[in-house]
Amino acid sequence: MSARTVQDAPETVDILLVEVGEEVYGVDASQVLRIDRAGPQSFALAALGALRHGRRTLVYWTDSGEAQLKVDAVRGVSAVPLACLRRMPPAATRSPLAIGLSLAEERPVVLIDLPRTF
Amino acid sequence: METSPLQRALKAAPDRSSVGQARPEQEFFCFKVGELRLGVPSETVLEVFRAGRLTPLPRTPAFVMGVTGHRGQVLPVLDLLRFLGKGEARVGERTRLCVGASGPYVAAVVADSVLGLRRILTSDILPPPLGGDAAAEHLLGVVQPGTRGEGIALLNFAKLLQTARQRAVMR
Amino acid sequence: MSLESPSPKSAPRRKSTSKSATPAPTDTGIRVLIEAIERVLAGDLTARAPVGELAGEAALVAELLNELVRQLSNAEARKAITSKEIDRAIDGLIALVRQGDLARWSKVTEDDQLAPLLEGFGNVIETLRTFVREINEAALRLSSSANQVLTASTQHETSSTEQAAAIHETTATMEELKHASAQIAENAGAVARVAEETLGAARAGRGAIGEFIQAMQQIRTDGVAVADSIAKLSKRVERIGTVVEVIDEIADRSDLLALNAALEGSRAGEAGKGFSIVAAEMRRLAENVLDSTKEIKNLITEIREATAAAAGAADASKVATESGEKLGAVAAQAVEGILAGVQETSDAARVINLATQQQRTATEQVVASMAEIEDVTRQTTQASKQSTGAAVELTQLAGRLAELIRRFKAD
Repeated sequence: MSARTVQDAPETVDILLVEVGEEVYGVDASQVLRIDRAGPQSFALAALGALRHGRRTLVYWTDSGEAQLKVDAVRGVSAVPLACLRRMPPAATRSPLAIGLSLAEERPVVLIDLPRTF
Repeated sequence: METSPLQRALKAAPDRSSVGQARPEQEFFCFKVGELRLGVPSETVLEVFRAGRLTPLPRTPAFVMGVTGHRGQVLPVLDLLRFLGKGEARVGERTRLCVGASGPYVAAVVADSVLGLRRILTSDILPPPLGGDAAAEHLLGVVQPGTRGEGIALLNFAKLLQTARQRAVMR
Repeated sequence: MSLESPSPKSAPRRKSTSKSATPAPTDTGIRVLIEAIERVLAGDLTARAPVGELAGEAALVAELLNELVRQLSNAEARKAITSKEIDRAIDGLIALVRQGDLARWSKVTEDDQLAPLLEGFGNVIETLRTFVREINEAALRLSSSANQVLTASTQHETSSTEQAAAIHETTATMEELKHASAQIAENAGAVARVAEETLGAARAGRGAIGEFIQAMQQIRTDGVAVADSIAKLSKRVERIGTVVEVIDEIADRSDLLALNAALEGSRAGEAGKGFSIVAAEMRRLAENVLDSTKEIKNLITEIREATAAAAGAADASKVATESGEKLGAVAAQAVEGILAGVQETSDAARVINLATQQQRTATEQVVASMAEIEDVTRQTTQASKQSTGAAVELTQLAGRLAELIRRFKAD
């Protein structure tokens, strides 16, 4: 509550958790237009690791239009409290893709900035 | 009256142990990773904890094994074997993560097992061999294997962490 | 003839002498008379005294003389006929005697006195002829019969010889048979003995199989108990493992706590030194505990492996004992079959042994009988040889008899 007043930020953020291979990633749920079956326009992001099958796709907007990112499974949306969100530690990675981490899960979940996947 | 050798010896015995005070020594946090026996100044080590499953990060150098959450803090986990070019560390059940800090930069290094805190006589520390490999630039010195145990390479942990940070960002 | 002639000559001579000496009427008459008498005496019975030339008494004497000569002539004629018939009869007898000719006998005669004699002889000869004819026939038949006898005897001899040979052969065969049956009896005896031994062995085998099956059942029961024990042990070991895991966890946490405490102590400088020492000691203890639990874990792993192996072995043992029991049952059945078979074999061999022994006895009797028969046959052969000899002789005799009889002509 104090966070909202002080930082003018919401108490929780809806994070969509998806699976790529053995890993779990979080994306801003508000950025995802829809979840679909993977089609010919879907692309895989090698930086996230090898897909098991990639049957699902996250459809979202980028600067260059609609994009479809292949994932293996979608776990669902989780309302993550602000206290559980962390910025990427300095110099852990130079990738602009990973913008932060969520500590709401058993182990830290890397948060991906979808518009930057292109 | 003649005194026995024991009585003579007892007269010459000191009141208290003077070893620690008389000779300069330094405390090192010693651990083992792979075949390496490493020691870092104990004041640079904040904490030791068990490694859980790490979260890999996209597009990072190989020596950054990923991140882990500890006490609400996200810590990059570094593999010293990869960093020094001595192989690859494996994270198992008993793997320890040793948290080190260099200024604001905090990171954890993987240790297969912690040997403990060792006080090492400054006189026992030999300078690093000249013309050594990549690891040499981070060496404070080496302790030769001898009566006090196996040989240990003493690292400049703060410098090492700074280098790691630079490499991760600069590349 | 010479016998007959003197008697009529002498009689008339004596008669004529007495007659001529007495009358002597005249010389001429007398002379004529004398001449006639002399001619008669010379044999001329046709000589007559000329009665006409004489007269008186001389004529009378001449007449008387002529009468006398006539009568003499008649007598001579009769005498000649008789003599001729006798000669003929004698000729016939000679022929009969010399040539055996019985056909040339004549009963016809002019002599009344001779007739009954000839008839008598004729009857005798007729009888002889009949005899000869019959004998001839008999001789012929005898010869034929003798030939038949000879043939039969020869055949008999041949067959007797053959029979002897056959008997000899049979005897030899019987001898062989005797040996063979003795061999069979011996073999059958051996078979019976072996069968008896086999029977004993099979019975022992049956017992052993029974024990085996019992043992298998016992093993299976024991195996079940062992498996139970293993399962219990396994559970307990797992429990120990859990406990050890807890201990391990605590020790590990203690290790970390001690380590961090030591670091804390180290940061505290001189003030934290004692703290660091305690922490190090605590860490050492934790490490000891970890070492111990590691050992325990190793032991548990070993026990786990051992119990798994034991459980596997128990399972395998169970399977093995089950199949062993099955095999035992099969073996028992097989041994029962063997027992039955061997019993039958034993019985059969005993029967064969007995039968061959009886056969041997019988064969021996047959051999003995054959020997007797051979003996008899030898005698028979001998006899038939003798018989053949006799038949040969008989044939020869019959031939000779026929030949002899052939000398007599009956017709």
